[in-house]
Order: sequence, then C-alpha cells, then structure tokens
Amino acid sequence: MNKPTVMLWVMVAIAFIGFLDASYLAVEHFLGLVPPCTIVAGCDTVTTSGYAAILGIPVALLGSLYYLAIICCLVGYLQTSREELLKIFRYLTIGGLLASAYFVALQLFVIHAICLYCMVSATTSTLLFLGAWIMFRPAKSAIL
Amino acid sequence: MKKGLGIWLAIGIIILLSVLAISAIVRGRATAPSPVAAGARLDAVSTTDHLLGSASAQVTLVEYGDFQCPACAVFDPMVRQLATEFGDKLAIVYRNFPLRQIHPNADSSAQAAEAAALQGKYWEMHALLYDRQKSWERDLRAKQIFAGYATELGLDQVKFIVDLESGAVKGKVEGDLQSGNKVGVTYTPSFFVNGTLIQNPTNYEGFRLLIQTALTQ
Repeated sequence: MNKPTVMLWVMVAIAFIGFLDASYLAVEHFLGLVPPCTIVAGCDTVTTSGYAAILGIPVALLGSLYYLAIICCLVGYLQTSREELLKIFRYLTIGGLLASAYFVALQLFVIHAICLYCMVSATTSTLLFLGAWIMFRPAKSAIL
Repeated sequence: MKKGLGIWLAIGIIILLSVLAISAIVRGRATAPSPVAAGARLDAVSTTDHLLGSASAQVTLVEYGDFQCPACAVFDPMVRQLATEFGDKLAIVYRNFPLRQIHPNADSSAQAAEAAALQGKYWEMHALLYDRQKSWERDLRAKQIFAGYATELGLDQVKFIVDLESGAVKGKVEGDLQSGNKVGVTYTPSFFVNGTLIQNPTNYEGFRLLIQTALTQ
C-alpha cells in the first residue's frame, strides 16, 4: 500500500472510533437510560440537557450517521478512486468540525459541564478535518 | 468487483457487530450489580431522616440525592409515585449527597430543604427544588430564589434564611454526605432497597417491580 492509501485507512479508523463513541451515546439515549451524576464526569448534565437533541433527533445519532458517511466515502474512494467521493469527504469534515466547535462551546459556556464522550468525538472530527485538508490537500483548481 | 463487495460486506458486518456489542454493554451496565464498600453498612433510618410512608414498613428505600443533579430530578417524580402507590408498605428516606465539585448550588439547595424541614415543610420544598431545578441550577443568587420558594410555601422567610446558613443545617447535610461516603456512594441518585444498593431502574415500571419483589421476599 502506498502512503496516501495508508493514510486513508487511518482516516477510516479514526472515523470508526468516532462512530463507536457516538453510537454509544445514541444507544444510551434510545434505551432511555438516565446517566447518574458523578463527581468525575459531566455527561449527565450534557446528555440530559436540552441541547442533546435537534428537532427530536438525538445529536449522538446524527454523529453516528456522520461518521458512517465518512467511512462510506473513504472506502468508496479506496475502491473506485472517484475524486468526487474524496471531495464529499472533505466537505463533510467541515460540517463535522463546525458542529464539534459548536458543541464544545455549548459545553464550556452554556451547559458548564464537559462530557468525555463528546470531547472524544470533537477530537476525532478535528483529526478528520485536518487529515482531509492538510494531508489530502486538493489542487487549487480542484477545490470548487 | 468481488474484492470490492467483500470489503463492503466486511465493513457492514463490523458496523453491525459494533452496534450490537455497544447495546449489550449499555444493557449490561444497566442490570449489573454495583459494588458497595465492602463490609460497610447503611446507617439505620433515624429520627433525623426525612421519611415518606411508615417507619415500620416492610421495605425501606433510601435515596442519596443531590438537588442539582439532573438524573435525580428525573427520578424524583418516580419516587413520589412509589410513595403514592405503596403507601405505608414502603418507607422512603432521602439523604443529601451534594456533589459540590460539579454542582455549585448542591449545598445551598440541600440546606434550603433542611431549613424548610425545621418549619415542617421538608417534602414540599424537596418537590419544589426538583420541579424547578432548571430555574436555579446555575443561578449565582440561588439562595434568594430558595427564599422565594419559602415564602411561596408559607414559611417564615426570615427564619428560613437564618436556618439555611445555620451550623445545624450545614451539619445535617454534611452528616448525610458522610453516611453516603461510608457505604461507598459515588453517584447520585443512589438507591438502597432494604440496605442493598440497587442499579437504577430505567423507568417507573422497573422501579415498581423492584419494590414489589422486595415486598414478596
């Protein structure tokens, strides 16, 4: 495998970690579990806050679908070498980064509690963004 | 083409298995018994405890709670429903376990409930604090809000404010906290049925069944 291919599989692995993380919170949401309050984590406050769902859809589920879409784009690109899939991946990571920034800001400045699982997702989406736009920097003419 | 299909199939299976494994882990966590400090025994129900139901009931449910904890606020209506449904067959005891490291108003809200208790309105203040948690949880002037609740409940507001800051009330909250620490409470709400820590039920029906089972034992 050449270097770009290895890096693409690394991106798939990062997206998979993000998928596991978001799916954990989504499953917890759908099973109706109320995370208890503990001294060491603020997940209770964050995941029971009004910001945990958008139009009734849990944010964690949107996160799972986001990471699944990333995995599909990357594996699809690895299979077919279709440039548009890589382009979709790049633009998806912008959405992921902006969503993560919004949710981290909410935790820090509005909810005043940090949920470890949300921070893991923020890390994976940031890494995916960096990977997409630094390592696989498109040629200037190919950006738009 | 076949190789491509194989990779998609493998990814599909991995994703499916991952979701199933996560579900199993989350469900397992919901039903597995929790460790309690070895050898430590829950303090017996005393006259200083706040009790709903009959002290001589066959089943005793002790809750360690924090008025600023969102999970406790979710469970509180269930606990009140248990009290209504089981009446004198169930003794419900509430002890303070303020998570002051993460909840800035945990102590003052517990003190507010204890101050109301000195004027005979503990459970009324208890319910009000949980029902309106969102309106005071992050407010720097929470004590003023609690004083407003005291007036609403028909309490002597001046006495309430003095009691809220009194050593006796602070001592009661601290005593509850220490009794929870002694038995290894680390989260809220923590429920003990007849002295045994239970895993928090996921809904009212689960809670009801737990009490029903304890009644038949």
